[in-house]
Amino acid sequence: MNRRLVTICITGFIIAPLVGIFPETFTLNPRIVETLGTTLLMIVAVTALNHLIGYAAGKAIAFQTGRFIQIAELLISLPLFLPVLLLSFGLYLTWIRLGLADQFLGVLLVLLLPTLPYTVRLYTNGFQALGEQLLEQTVLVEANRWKRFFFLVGPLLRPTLQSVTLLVTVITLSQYALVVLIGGGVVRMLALEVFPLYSGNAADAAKEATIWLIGLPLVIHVGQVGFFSLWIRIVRRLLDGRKN
Amino acid sequence: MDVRINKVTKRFGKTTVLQDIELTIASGQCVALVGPSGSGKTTLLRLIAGLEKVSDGTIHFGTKDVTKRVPNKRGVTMLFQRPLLFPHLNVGQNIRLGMKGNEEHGVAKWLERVGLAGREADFVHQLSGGEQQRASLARALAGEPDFLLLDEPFSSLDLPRRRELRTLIRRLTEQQGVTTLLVTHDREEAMAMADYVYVMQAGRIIEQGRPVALSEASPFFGDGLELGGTWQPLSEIELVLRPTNQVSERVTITKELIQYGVRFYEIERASGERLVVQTTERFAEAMTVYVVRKEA
Repeated sequence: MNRRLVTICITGFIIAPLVGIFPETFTLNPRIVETLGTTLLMIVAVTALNHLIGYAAGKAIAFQTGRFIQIAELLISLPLFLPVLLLSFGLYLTWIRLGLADQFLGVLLVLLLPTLPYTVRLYTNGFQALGEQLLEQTVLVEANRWKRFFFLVGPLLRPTLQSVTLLVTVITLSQYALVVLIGGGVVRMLALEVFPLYSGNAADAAKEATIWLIGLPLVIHVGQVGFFSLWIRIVRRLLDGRKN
Repeated sequence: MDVRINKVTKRFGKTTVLQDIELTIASGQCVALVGPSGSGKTTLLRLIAGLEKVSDGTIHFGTKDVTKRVPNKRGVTMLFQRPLLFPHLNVGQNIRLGMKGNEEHGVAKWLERVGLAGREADFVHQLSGGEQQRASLARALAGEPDFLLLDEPFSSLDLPRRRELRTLIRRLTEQQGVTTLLVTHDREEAMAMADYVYVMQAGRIIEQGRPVALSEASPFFGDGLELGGTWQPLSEIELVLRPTNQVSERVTITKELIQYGVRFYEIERASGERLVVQTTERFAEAMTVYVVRKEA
């Protein structure tokens, strides 16, 4: 099969489900709009936590060996093997005791369950692709660790950073059961408003909600592509401006 | 800057990979660390660079104990097997990264010195493997380091590029007065580049000496060097003798021999003294040669 045919097939599979999702009239559903603030805040917080934990864990798993690392890797991968709902119910009982149930923080922490395993895997692969020697070269070239990240490691890890942000955004947006269970309807996110519309008869409202579900990750992705391009442009300009 | 390694031991868990290593490199000298794979050469190099922690012993750069210093506070730079240039930056930006801003030579000058003049704006993927390694060398030396560590930097290159690069490295480190430590399992490389060679095996230094002396005595160098081979009488040229770097004098070359890809000459000085010298450079006026031994 030639490459063009494969591309057409894959594109077809992606586009086919989207045909017919555009509503005839687009009215900003106030119930959906009200949840956008919390949803965006949650995406930012979950993404930030994923980057922080994933960076450290992925680097350790990529370059270090030993029983502790193996155990940590297994624990982090556990949500991939066990049903997330099962783990969430266990957490729900703990959250009630800790007073985190029905709280933004409680939902934020539980959303790490379905996202972190993928994030750590992406970071591990990203670091392995760069290789230990390239990272050691960054250490030899730049003394300050913040400058090192800004000038070198960040731009080198660009594909990983972008993938993690996009993946976490999509997973966070589409979690219904976890948000209902831990948030108890108090923490209102987009999925909470969207899923009842799907199961109801309001087709246009459901279609409008779908636009939000597709649009938000798209906007975030386009935004981050622009952000990384600007980042690298600034790095290169600063280096060009250095004496010599 | 002198480098002294005092009774350095490295353990990974219960496994000892380096045991009581004692090694000295005089300022401006090029020392080779040779030995079979798994003998601990690269581990020792990483300890010196600060990329691994020493289990026992000390490392001194000049009078300073750098055993516990982080890599970028040691004044060392390292050339790895792969060029390891940063692909989001162009060649000029890669070199600028290694500079502090108060260096004598700028990026353009460095590119000229490594034979990449006019390639400043090129990206890494636009360079060949040999060109990438030369750009990497420029980055390593542009920051005017005291100490250059070479971890088999020629292994990914073909033979002509390999010879070209090691000649370049030796010329540039000599011009800058940079102390150099080369790790290799290639005896030709050790012969061609080093003033002094340490042979390692199973985490210990088992032999040391000048390259030619070792090549005649050490099992690592195989058959040894036959200096009584096919000698060719040559004309009178000007030579720069090492390690007395500044001395430039007119001598008579009486014989020539090529072995392990290295040129050996027997020369006669004006004083009548006869020396055996080596070089990787092609026969030319004012070439740099290394004194191997004095003849009786």
